[in-house]
Amino acid sequence: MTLDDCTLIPYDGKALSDCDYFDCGHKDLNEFFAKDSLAYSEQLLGKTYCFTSNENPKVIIAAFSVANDSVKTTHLPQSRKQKVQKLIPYPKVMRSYPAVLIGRLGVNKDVARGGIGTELMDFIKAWFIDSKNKTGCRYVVADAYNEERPIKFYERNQFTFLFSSEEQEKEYLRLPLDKPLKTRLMFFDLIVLRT
Amino acid sequence: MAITIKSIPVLTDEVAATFIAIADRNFSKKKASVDFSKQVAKANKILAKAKI
Repeated sequence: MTLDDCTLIPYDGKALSDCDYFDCGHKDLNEFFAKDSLAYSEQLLGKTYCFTSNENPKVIIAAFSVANDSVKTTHLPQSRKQKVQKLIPYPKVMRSYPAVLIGRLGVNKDVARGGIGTELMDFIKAWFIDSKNKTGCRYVVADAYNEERPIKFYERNQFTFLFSSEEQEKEYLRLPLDKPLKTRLMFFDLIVLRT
Repeated sequence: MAITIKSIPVLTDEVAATFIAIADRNFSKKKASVDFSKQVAKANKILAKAKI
């Protein structure tokens, strides 16, 4: 099974009613796709898409939620600021780097571990560097479950942590330092891709 | 309800400096280093038959 054997459709109320239950083998992810993703879309916070099997369109092979976001930076040392402004023609704009945030991404547990997750990630990267893309996008940022398997998946796909430690991420997000961090922000720079 | 999806916070101080340094380095390379043309061609095929 590859994405060539699938069709990309919106993951909306129709998909939810037409398709079989989408089981990624992860309780929280299943709950998001079964319940929360519609509310997420209705509030225009993001959009969810899925790939259905061409052989049996009731079967969802993979799904993902994406949202517009940006990486904003402040407080640059003066020397660094000057260097960046020399290299980037619109420094004021480029202090806010446009990004697409992958909120959630899941693969049907029956086809997982066959490389379809990486294929999906390549599709998302390609989609956002496509010349038909109406707005610029410099980064793909993922809010990855802070668990071994998803973190390794994103690392395999050349993502790196936005924050160097869990403690630093908690501080930035103002999360309790004594509670476990449930997700980690990771990023990929689309500028390294040549088309 | 599932775990809430995080937004990206504003990066400041050392985190901002590190991020900018990497962005700067990647930008200043003469050409992109990863050939992604096959993946883009495949994505275009997927999008051509997509129902979105």
